[in-house]
Amino acid sequence: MRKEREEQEHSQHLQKPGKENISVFQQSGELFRDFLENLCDIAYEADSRGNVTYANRMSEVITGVPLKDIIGKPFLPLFTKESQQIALDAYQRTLNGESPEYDLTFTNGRTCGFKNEPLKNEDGQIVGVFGIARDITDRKRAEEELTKHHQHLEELVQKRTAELLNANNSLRQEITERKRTEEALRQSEGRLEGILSSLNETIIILFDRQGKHKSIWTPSEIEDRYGFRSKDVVGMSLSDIFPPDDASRRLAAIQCVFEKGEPLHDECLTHVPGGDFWNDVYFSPVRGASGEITAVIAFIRDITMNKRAEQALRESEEKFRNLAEQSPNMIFINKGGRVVYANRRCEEIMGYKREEFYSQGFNFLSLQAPEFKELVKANFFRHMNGEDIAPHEITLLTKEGRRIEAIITPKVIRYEGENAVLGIVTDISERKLAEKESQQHLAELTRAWHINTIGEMASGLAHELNQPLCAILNYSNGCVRMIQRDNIEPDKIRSAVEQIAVQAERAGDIIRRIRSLVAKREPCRSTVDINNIVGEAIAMVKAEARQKNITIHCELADDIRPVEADRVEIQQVILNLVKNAFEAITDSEADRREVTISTSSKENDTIELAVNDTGKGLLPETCDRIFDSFYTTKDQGLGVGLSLSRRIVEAHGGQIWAESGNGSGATFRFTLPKEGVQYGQHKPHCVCSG
Amino acid sequence: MDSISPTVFVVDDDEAICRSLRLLIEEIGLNVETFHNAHDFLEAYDPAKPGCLILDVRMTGMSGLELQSEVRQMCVDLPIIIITGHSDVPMAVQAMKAGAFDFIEKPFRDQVLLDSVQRAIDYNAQAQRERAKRTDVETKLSQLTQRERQIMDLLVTGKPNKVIAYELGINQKTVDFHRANILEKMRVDSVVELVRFTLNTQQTQ
Repeated sequence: MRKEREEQEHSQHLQKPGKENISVFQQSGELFRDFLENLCDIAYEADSRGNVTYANRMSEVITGVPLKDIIGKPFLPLFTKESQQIALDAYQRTLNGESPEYDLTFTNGRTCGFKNEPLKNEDGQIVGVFGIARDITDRKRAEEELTKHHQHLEELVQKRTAELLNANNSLRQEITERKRTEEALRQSEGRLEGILSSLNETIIILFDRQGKHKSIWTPSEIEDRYGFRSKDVVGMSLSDIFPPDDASRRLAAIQCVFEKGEPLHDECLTHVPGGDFWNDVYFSPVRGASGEITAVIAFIRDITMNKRAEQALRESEEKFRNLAEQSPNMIFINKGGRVVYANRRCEEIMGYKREEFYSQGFNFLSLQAPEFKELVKANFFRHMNGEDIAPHEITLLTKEGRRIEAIITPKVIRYEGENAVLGIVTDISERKLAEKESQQHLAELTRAWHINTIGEMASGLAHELNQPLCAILNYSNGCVRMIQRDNIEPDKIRSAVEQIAVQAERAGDIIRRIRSLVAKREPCRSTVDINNIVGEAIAMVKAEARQKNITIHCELADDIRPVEADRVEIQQVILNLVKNAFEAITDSEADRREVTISTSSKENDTIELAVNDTGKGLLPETCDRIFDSFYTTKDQGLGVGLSLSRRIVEAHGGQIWAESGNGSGATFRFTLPKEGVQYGQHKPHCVCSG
Repeated sequence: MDSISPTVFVVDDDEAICRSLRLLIEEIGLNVETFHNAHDFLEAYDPAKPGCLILDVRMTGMSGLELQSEVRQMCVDLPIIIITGHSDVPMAVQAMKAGAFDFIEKPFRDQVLLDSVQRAIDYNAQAQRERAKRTDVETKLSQLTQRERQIMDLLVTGKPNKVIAYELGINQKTVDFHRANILEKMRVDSVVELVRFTLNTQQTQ
């Protein structure tokens, strides 16, 4: 190899033309001359008098005129009459320093695309014209091939870009870079000088039929990167450079071009001293004067970066797919009403196979429960307008017709160049069920608590009931005595009997109250007057208040709007607060045992109820914790009442809190919104209490 | 004093209880005064009036037991009958220890209450009488001089005049003289009577 190189250098030196005979192409040296002679394009040079000073072998092939009849002769007669004027015109313009591009037809009828460049001497004076002309048919064909190839690549990149919204910026930049290069390349493709000017990106190799490197031109930066020198490779065959498999693959491609005469495109991994690089190789036949293929020219571009970008894209796409496939949520992409992607969970939950989802006739709306179809349709159009919609609840219908409650998080994405909806659907059927169970549990707990409270109130109620019974007995016994003594005073007896009736009714009222307290009931929301509930609650605790020497004050606002609430639950909360207040003041002085219950209207039709006592008040830390489950400050307390109260109030969409000021005892307040909140919509943090 | 007819005072915050008790108790010919809370009663009460007090142990404001101790301080003799709708043993014990006359659970048989009222009134009358007698003895005793009191104490132990004179180191005639004065002042005819009188006093005291 070393010997070969020496020989080459030697021969180059020998063939170096004289300075007086300078021509652009001759200056280019042996490699270039080799190159030009093997080109399928015409390379030419003319002096300031319009005589051809150089023409390559291809000129002969295309024009059909022997080289000796071209070189040293005027160029004009080579063209048809129509073309001569254009040629002359272009020639003049070139001598004026322009670089015109134009098409000319030779006398043999073949048309070529020309591009002239002014030929300058060392002083920069224009002394002639040189240029390249390519047979347009060949060029067109090659151009079409290339354009197709680039379009394909471009599509590939675009598609993947669309599929992966979150491909990182550096990747994107690389893609743009590459596109720009491709664009530049494509624009100049077909014009040799274009190729030459972009040679810094491309290796050009001429292969013979055996795959031997006849000539090679490599930009120096690629040489550096790849770690070899072009001149070392010349004369070597593929098998000298590449591993057997690789070499035979390339050789096969070259031979294929030789045989079919068609350009061939290939992408391959090249192992060179500098490492492994991905190459985009474009093999094109080089024809001799008689049209036979004399060599194959390969344009090799380094696409390693692109490949890496593609690889990264593919990997991240794979990651996305894996993630989507592993997701416990249903994930789908809906493009224009068609499902173009559905993950495994979609199959599992909805019962359709992916082929069914993707099929032309699949109706996306058939996945929706009837009452949601309109909403889904409306949302879909909003999406198509690029509008984002917040996550919302929907009900889906499986293939078997089972209803599934779900939350859908839709997102408008670009998919294959169009707006599409990426939907993430979470099955919340179980959560709903759990919420419902939790609600039932709450109801049961409330009931148990309620019964417990009733038990506590039993002594008070017994006393309460004793009062009218005792009065009735006294009245009736008094009357009996009066009658026995024959001392009948009709007015007295009538009044007594009337009183007996009144007291009997009073006893009946008390019994009804007890019964309504004890009766088993289901949670039930209705429009209730909170003042009314307060009144009933006070009636229930009046007896106990009397026993404990507690004065109850009532400050009820007149403008209280009715609210949507469960009467018994709210009454239970009030009773609990009042009874807590009672306990808080048992130790107070007899004349300072007061409990004030007040109601008031707040903003947004919210109503507030407050229970204040004249007890010692609460410590700040107690205020914070008092609503926690099983937290209690009482000796006998369970720590259940207030936590249940909070759950009830929050289930109604309200809030409950405690305040304690300087010496004014404790105040417990809760609010209720006008419109009750339905079960299951309350804040999640209260689900865990109780 | 017996001429003043006894009154049954009823203190209960329940209007129906007050009114029905009035009807019942008036039927046995007693005066009834009703009050809705302890304060009203304390303001209106005249300790000189005989009778008894019926009160509910649980009332708003001052409770029955608190009122009981107030009344005890004002007038020892007024018997208190406590009625309650919800009695328990500790409360009954507390009430009885504090000197309640009776403890009755509501609702009650009328006879139970009326009997109790009657006994309370009798007790009260008796107590009033004894109190009067004791006051009489104390008045008379206060009229005796120191020497007379000294001699009387020895007389009631049954000692003859001669022994008393010896013990006191005075003349027997002087003792005779004092003895006559003592019988005179105590309005008794004999030493035997004097003994009975003083015994009575010691009992009531």
